[in-house]
Amino acid sequence: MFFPLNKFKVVGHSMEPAFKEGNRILVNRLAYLFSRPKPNDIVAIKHPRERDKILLKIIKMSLPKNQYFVVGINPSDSCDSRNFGSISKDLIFGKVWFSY
Amino acid sequence: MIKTLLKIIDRISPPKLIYAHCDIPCGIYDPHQAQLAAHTVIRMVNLINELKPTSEEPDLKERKRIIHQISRYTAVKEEHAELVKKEIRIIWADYFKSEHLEKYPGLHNLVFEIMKLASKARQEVNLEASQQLLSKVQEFAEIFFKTKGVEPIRIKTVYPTEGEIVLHK
Repeated sequence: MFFPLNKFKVVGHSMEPAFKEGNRILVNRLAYLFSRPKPNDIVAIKHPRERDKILLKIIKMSLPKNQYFVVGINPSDSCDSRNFGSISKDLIFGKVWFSY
Repeated sequence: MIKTLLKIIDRISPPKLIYAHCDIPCGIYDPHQAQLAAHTVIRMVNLINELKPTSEEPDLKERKRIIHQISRYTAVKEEHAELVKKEIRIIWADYFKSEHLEKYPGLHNLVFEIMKLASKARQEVNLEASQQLLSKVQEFAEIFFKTKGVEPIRIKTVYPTEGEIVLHK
């Protein structure tokens, strides 16, 4: 069933200090229905190889053909576009709305 | 207000996990396993080729022995040729980045050749293809170590295949 808002609990340290391990976030899955993701957006993405796994990343840059380069805030502890390449818009699960 | 409400909902329906870290420890890559597997493929081809019946007209027991041995060698050959592909794919997909490709523009083609040779080594009892497979995997290993900033060296192994393996200084 599709829920436009999804709750998540953060695991890992690649997005610190903005998002610490254990933080809870609300993700809006409809945020990009009528707009395009833009740099510095914090997004939940589907892992390119394990689609049921959701990753927390920040968009570093928009590329042609609806491709996006995503990274972690702490690059040394992040598995991101430097490893699996740019991602297409359909892999963007939603935009992080706020943490609580 | 909303945040408090969400915290209450979490007690009833816990949030899913979102990962802000690597799925596996990034940076731990090594072409060693691929080379071992390529050596194993060569060894299995040699063992198959060395199989000889004990007489010109082998009896049923002897035929069974040979068929059984061939089956076992073939199974190991299949497994290790596939392991070569898996190990190379992981390093190629997860480790190499665009800046590596700029420096080593033949990398994609090299991986393509490894995939094709590994398939050929699976499909046939082909010593030449198996040796070419090892050779290409060694080229791949040399590029890998160079991108790590270390000098690759070829060491003669003590394996029955008597070939080399690429390590680094």
